[in-house]
Amino acid sequence: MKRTVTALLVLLTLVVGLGAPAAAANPQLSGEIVVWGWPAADQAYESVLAGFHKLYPNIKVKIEMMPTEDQHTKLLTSMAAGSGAPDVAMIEAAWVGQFTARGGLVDLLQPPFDAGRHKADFVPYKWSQATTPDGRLIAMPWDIGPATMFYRADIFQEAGLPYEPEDVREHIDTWEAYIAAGKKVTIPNERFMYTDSNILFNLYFNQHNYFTKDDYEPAINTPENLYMLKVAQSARQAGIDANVAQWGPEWQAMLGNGSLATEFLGSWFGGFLKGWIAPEAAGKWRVAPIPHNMGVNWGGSFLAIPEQSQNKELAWAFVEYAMATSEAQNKMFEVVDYFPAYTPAFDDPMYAMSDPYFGGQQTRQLWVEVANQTPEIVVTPLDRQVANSLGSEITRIIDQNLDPEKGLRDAEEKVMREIRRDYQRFIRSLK
Amino acid sequence: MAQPSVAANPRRGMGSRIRRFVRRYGVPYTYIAPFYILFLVFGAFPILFSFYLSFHDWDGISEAFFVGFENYAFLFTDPVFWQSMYNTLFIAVVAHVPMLLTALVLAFLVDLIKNRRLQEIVRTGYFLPAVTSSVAVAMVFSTLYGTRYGFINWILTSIGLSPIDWWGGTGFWVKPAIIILFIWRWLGWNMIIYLAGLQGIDHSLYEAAAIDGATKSQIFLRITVPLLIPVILFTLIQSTIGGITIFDEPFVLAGTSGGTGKAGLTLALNLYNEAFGYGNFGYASAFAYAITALIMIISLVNLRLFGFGRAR
Repeated sequence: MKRTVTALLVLLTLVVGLGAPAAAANPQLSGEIVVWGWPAADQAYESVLAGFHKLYPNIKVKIEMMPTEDQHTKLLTSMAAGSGAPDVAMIEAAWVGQFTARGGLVDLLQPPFDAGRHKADFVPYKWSQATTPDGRLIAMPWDIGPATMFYRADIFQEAGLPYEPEDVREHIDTWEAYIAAGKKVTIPNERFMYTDSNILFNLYFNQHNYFTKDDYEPAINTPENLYMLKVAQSARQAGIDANVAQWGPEWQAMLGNGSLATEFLGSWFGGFLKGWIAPEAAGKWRVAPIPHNMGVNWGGSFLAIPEQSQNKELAWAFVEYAMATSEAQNKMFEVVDYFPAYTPAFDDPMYAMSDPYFGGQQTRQLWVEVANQTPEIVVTPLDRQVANSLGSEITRIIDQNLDPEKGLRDAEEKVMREIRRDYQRFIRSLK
Repeated sequence: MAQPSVAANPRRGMGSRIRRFVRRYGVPYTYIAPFYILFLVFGAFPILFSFYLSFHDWDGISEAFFVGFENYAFLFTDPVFWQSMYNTLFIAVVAHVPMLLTALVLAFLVDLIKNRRLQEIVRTGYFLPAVTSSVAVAMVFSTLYGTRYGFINWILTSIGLSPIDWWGGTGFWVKPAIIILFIWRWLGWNMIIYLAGLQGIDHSLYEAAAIDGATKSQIFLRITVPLLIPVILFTLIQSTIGGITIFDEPFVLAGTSGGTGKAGLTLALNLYNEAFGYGNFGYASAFAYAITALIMIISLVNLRLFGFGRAR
């Protein structure tokens, strides 16, 4: 009898402990924290303050905004200088690798943070992105960019292609089918299937899997990449890409006047289309999975706590509340469209909402699906260097239609030759 | 407490000497102090610190550790360094030779404009690009260089030529694109300097030559150019520095990677990547000193070629 009671008590405490992630909330905590970010994160922060202050009435939050690039360089400089870092910093997906091999940001897996208990609640690849080769977690996942094919249903229909999202998903499910569709859509010098073949190749590299997991061998010359390179080349040979620079003025103009039929980008691109690229095209765009392998992520950010912070406990209270509660994540999603990496947030009915800009499609359902299918990401401090080096080689291979096997092999060799010093140092630092 | 008596004695001790110095020179030194203080903090300190860093391996956060000449030694085997060196010298030479020659001729022609008003307008027009923000310039030129809707390609195709793929292909057109922008930006700047030099030349010399029957080109080659040598040398050295440290133009046009085949990756862009992109502050410092050495060598060669710095 006594045994049963004890067992029940243990069980009860366990259940209570699990059921209340914010149980650690200590309303006694008081002080001020400085939180950095780039617009529109300020609106996101503001939107969660009310809920945060319910739990922690005595923590003042001071929000400081600056442009994305500046925020990261300022963070790096203040780390180098040994002072000036905030209590909470925002880090973009493309920059997170820069911070993995260094100190400067606290390991959130250690006490008193113990972020590990939230691991199961985040999409795994996002968590892996902030995990260093030596197993530290340097930032809490905030938002993700589940990538999809954005396409113009009106152009597809006009070209005699399937144009309802379910039909597109079913019929344009391989790159071969995509290129075939592209040939129907393309009118030389007038209308194109998509922006640039380099982007097609780089789609899978937005994961930055330039190295193998665990032993960090170079992973550029792989069968998957070779396949993608061949796809990109044959798409170019078929003449279905506009060969203009993404984000350039031509690209914006072409999206605006309907001479690009598809675009592959993260979910946030929906907001861009609506907001400033093509607000007048409401009802014409739809989203469908990326052909062949839909699990792709593009962009997203994190919150981190610098070692310099004098208020780590307060900072963590804020980070934990903002990142690891459905309440806060969905508030921010509502305000600034940052797609949560926190999966319990997806249970909210707003993820089933239909979007009039996308012809009433339930776009968020697809993005949740993509997020759940995206594989783990290998992040290293060498990623930016590899991206710079590799990008210029791939352009050559596609533009000059070089032999893909040899081209990719040479590209890997060239990249590794160029980064060899940093690579050796990185490998040494792992031991 | 045994000191005050010495310090109080106005005839002896450091204190009185300092006080006398301050009384005599205090005001002028105070006037020039702001420059020296700013220079010490933002000029001298970084210069010396990066010299120190060039012998270390430092990622900006962890402890820096001493590596001796390793950074400098690595420069010689780093393929990206040599490629960026080639790109830089190519761009610098191909941009500067026609630009300086054109600027000189232009200055000569502008100097001939007798109407002051008109001359001012022409001068300002040529100089404007040099003071335009590089972001605005980048916007305009990326429109000019557009592959599909670019203005230049529109002209080419309308006269029956094939359009240029500025940023792709073999990467061949990346350098010309940068060079065209560079010349556009700095032509007026150099022209103004030459013009200032020209206006220091006594016009009676021209008149005398004209009376003796010299043609315009003879006057230009035999009077103007020789008298302008010091100014030409000045622009050459300026151009050497500007050409080797060229950063804005490739950065705004081709991005940090330098574009296709890294054709637009210049020394300064590479240095920026190493320091702020990849966190190799030690190597970047060695890089900076190598660039400085290169500038000094080329400047010295220039001085020699023009007969300066040689024993008379």
